Amino acid sequence: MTHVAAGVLRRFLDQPAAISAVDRAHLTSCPRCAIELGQAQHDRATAAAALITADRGEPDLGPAQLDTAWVRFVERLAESDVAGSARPGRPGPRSRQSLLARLARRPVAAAVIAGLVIVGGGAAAAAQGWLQIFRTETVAPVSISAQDLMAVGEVGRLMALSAYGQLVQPTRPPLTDVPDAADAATRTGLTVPQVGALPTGVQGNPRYQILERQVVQFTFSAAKAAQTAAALGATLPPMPAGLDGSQLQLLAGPGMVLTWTQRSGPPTLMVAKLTAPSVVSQGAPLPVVRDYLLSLPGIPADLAAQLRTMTGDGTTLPIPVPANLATASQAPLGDATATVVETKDRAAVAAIWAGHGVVEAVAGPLSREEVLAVAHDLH
Amino acid sequence: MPKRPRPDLEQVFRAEYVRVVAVARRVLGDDHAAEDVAQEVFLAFARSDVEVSAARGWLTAAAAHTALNVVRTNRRRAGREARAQTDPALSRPAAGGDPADAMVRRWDRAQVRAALGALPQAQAVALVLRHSGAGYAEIADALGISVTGVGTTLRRAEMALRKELSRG
Repeated sequence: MTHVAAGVLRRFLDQPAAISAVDRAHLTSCPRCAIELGQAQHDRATAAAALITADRGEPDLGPAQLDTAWVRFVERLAESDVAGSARPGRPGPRSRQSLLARLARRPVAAAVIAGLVIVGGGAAAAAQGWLQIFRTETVAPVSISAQDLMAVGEVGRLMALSAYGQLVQPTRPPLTDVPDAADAATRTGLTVPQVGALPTGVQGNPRYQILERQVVQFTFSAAKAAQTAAALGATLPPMPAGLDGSQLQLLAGPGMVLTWTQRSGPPTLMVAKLTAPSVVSQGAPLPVVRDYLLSLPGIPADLAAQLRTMTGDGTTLPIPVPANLATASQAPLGDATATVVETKDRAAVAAIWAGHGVVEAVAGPLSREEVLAVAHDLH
Repeated sequence: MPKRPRPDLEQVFRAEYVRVVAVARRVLGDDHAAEDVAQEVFLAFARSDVEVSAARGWLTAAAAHTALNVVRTNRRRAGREARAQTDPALSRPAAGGDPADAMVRRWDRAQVRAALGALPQAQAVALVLRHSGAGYAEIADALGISVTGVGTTLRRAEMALRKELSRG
């Protein structure tokens, strides 16, 4: 009689249906194989118990721990590039303190991580070689004429980033309702704006919504750009050397929006607070990225010139203002300067300002004075 | 010139990190050590050309291999240290909690780690992967053996583990 092989017998314990009918029949009738099967079962149970002893259940790693692990990983990746190679088997530091201490000795890595920590509150996404090339520290209006808008609209397809490479955008809904201010604070890590006196006509408690951290990743592709140009019969400026394959990450959030509404009516006041948006690049410096994007067809020369000047030092976020619909001005707000946008029909006013790592805004169908009064209270 | 990172790196990291830590912890029984192993595994993955569809299996196997290597390295180091001196701190229970309980847990984990470290690498990897929920095909891929051979390897591994544990 041929007994069942040890491996088959072991597999029978996990996947009885995976062994042949002949072997299964043998196992039920052969006393010797039955003993072997019992021993295998016992050994399997011993191994399971031993490995559970070593394990202690599933790791308790929530989103915050995962973010911390990712930041630590990015730093190690950058450091291993500096060293020339990874050093398998040599565990890295665990604490933020030791990480920062080592960063202090590595200015480039320090710049990368410091930027990431500031941008994402320790949770920013980036990988090997990422450098922050833009971070919002101020906002300023960019006037777009009706002619500009038409010109841009006509070449909308060419303007789309996805025409020039691979665009990966978040699939989650941008805003999520949360029950109250405490939850908004916990989930965003931001302090909730405290509005003092509400403008006349604005009543009740606000609706709280949060914006989770958004990461839009874009990879330039010369081939894709050429393909787009060919499909549309357009001529594109050549992609600068080094830009093909370069990656950008546009980081925004977390943030929150507080909205006051009349009963089943439109919002009467909106207050928003967002971690300052930024851009990190994998290799391509800001001037190269900016000049290429601004050289694409359809962007009027004067608009390109405004944007080029404004983003020169990589700290000013342009706020597009359609010249035929709205006017923009500036107003002092403590140590910041707010950009105030008013629609020409006086239907709405918005004040936007940046500083201390966040961008804040107040908007509503209110007067300029009312909006700025709320903004002053917040600031 | 550093190699450009994989565009799918963050996506894979966030999807698989917890699992990789879980596999390493099954071997090491220690959160921090398991996270260190996970970092090493993802560093290797970042430089690999592994298809994203095969990432999970690759990472799981790499976690088992790397964690077992840590166990073996520690065994050699522990052997050298034991020969050099006897450190009473090693037998002291960890601070906090019930000292007797901590002692038992510490002993059990140490015994399991030692037993795993004594097994041939392929057997130990098969064992860890199977008890981390990997299927036979996944284990076969990780070890470069046939699916049929997985049962044999597991049987030998579990037998060897039982013998090692009974020695302690």
